[in-house]
Amino acid sequence: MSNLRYQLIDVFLAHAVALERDAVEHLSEVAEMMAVHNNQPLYELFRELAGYGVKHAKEIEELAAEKDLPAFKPWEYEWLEDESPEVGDLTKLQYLMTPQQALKFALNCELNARAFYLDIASHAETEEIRMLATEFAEEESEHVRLLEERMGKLKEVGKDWGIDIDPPHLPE
Amino acid sequence: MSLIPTKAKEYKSDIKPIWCPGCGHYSVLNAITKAMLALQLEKRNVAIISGIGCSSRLPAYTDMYGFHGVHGRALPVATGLAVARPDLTVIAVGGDGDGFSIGGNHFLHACRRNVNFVYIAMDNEVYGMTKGQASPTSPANWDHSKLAPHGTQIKPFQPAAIALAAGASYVARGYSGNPNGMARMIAEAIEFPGFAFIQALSQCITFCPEQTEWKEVVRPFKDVTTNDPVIAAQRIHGDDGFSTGVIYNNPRSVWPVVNAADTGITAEDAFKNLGQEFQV
Repeated sequence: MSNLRYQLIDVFLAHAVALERDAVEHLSEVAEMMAVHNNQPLYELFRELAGYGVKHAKEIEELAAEKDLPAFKPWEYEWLEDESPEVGDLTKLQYLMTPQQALKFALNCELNARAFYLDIASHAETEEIRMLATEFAEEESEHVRLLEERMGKLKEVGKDWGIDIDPPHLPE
Repeated sequence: MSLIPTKAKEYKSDIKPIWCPGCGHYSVLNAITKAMLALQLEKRNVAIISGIGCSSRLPAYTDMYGFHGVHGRALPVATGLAVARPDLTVIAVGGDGDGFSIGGNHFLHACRRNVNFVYIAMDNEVYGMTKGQASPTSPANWDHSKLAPHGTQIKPFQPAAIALAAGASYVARGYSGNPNGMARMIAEAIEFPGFAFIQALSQCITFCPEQTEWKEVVRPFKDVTTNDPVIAAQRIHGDDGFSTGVIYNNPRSVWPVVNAADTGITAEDAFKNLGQEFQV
C-alpha cells in the first residue's frame, strides 16, 4: 500500500475514519481505567473528550459514506508512527494523574493527529486529498487550541490529590 | 446473521479491566482482539486460557470462551483443550511469574510437545498481583522489593532462548507499545501450525516505573525471521532482550499426529488411547 494514502482519496479517508474511531475507543478505554480506579474527575474528563471524538468521527464517516472504503488490517495502515496518531502513549497514564496531565495527554494525541494530516497535505498527489487533509489538520489545530485554552484555565489541584490511603505498594 | 464481529472491541466483554492505567496488558488485550478481527474469527471458536496473575485476568475481559485456571497451569489446560478440540483457536496467556516460575516445567514441555496453540507470555519482570516481588525475568539488580533489597543477584530467565532450546518451532517477541505490530504477530502465530510462543514485553508502571523507558530501547530485529535454530540462538543470545519480531519460524509435525497416512493413528484415536491409558 506504500504511499497510497497520498494518491487515492479512498485510502486517505479510510485512514481518517480509522484515526477518529481509534481516538474514540482509546479515550473511552482511558476513561474506564480512571473509573475503575476511582478517579471520577478524570473519568468525566476523558468521557467528555471521547464525546468530541465521536462527533468528529461521525463527520468524517458521513463524508466517506458514499465511498466504498478499503478495509485494512490494523498493521496495514500507514501512520507516522507504529500506532494510530490519536492513540496516546499509555505509559504516560497513571491512576492519580491530574487534570493538567490528562489534558496534556489528550493534547499530544491532537498534535499527533495534526502532524499526520499535515504530512498528508504536504505529500498529497491530488488536489482533493490535499484540500481535505488541510481541512482536517485545521480542525485538529482547533482542538489543540481549545485544549491549550482549557489547560490555561485549570486551577492547581489540591495537595491531597496524590494521596492514596490504600497504595499499591504494601509493606512486606 | 454473521457471527463474526465487525469491530475489535466486540471481542471484549463488558467487564472493565482492573489493571492499572498505564499497564501494558491493555495493549496486549487490544492486540489479541485486533488479531481476532483481522482473521475474522467467530467468538465461539476461540478459547483464552490463563493461570493466575494480573495478566491472567485477561480471559474475563474477552467475550470468547475462557478458563481462568490454576497458577502456572495455563499450558496443560490449553494443551488438553487444543488436543480435544483441534477445531478451536486456543490461546494461553499469563505472566512471567506464572509461566516461567511455577509453570516453568509446563513451558518446557509445551515447547517440545508442539500442540497447536498460541502462548502469549506477558512479561513485565515482576509479580504484580502480589504487590511487586522479583520474578524469574527480573533483572539481577532489580531492588524495588523489600524481599530482595539488593536485587536477586540471579541471572534472569531468557524466555525466547529457552523456548528455542526446548523445541518451540515459532518464537517471537512483541512489545505492548506497538499493539498493531503485536496484533500482526498474534495473527501469524494463530495461523502457525503448532505451538507458537510470543514473549510480550508489557510494562508494569506501578512496580517497575523504569519500564516506561522501554519505548526508547525497543526496536525491531535487524534480521528477517529464520528457520535455522543455530542462527536464531545466535540472534537471541546476541541481543539485549529488547529486539522484537518473529525470531524463529520452522514448522514441524504437530502433536498429536493427525496425518493417518503417516501413522495410521488419527487425532481422535490418539485421544481415545490417552483416555484408556488414564482410564478417563
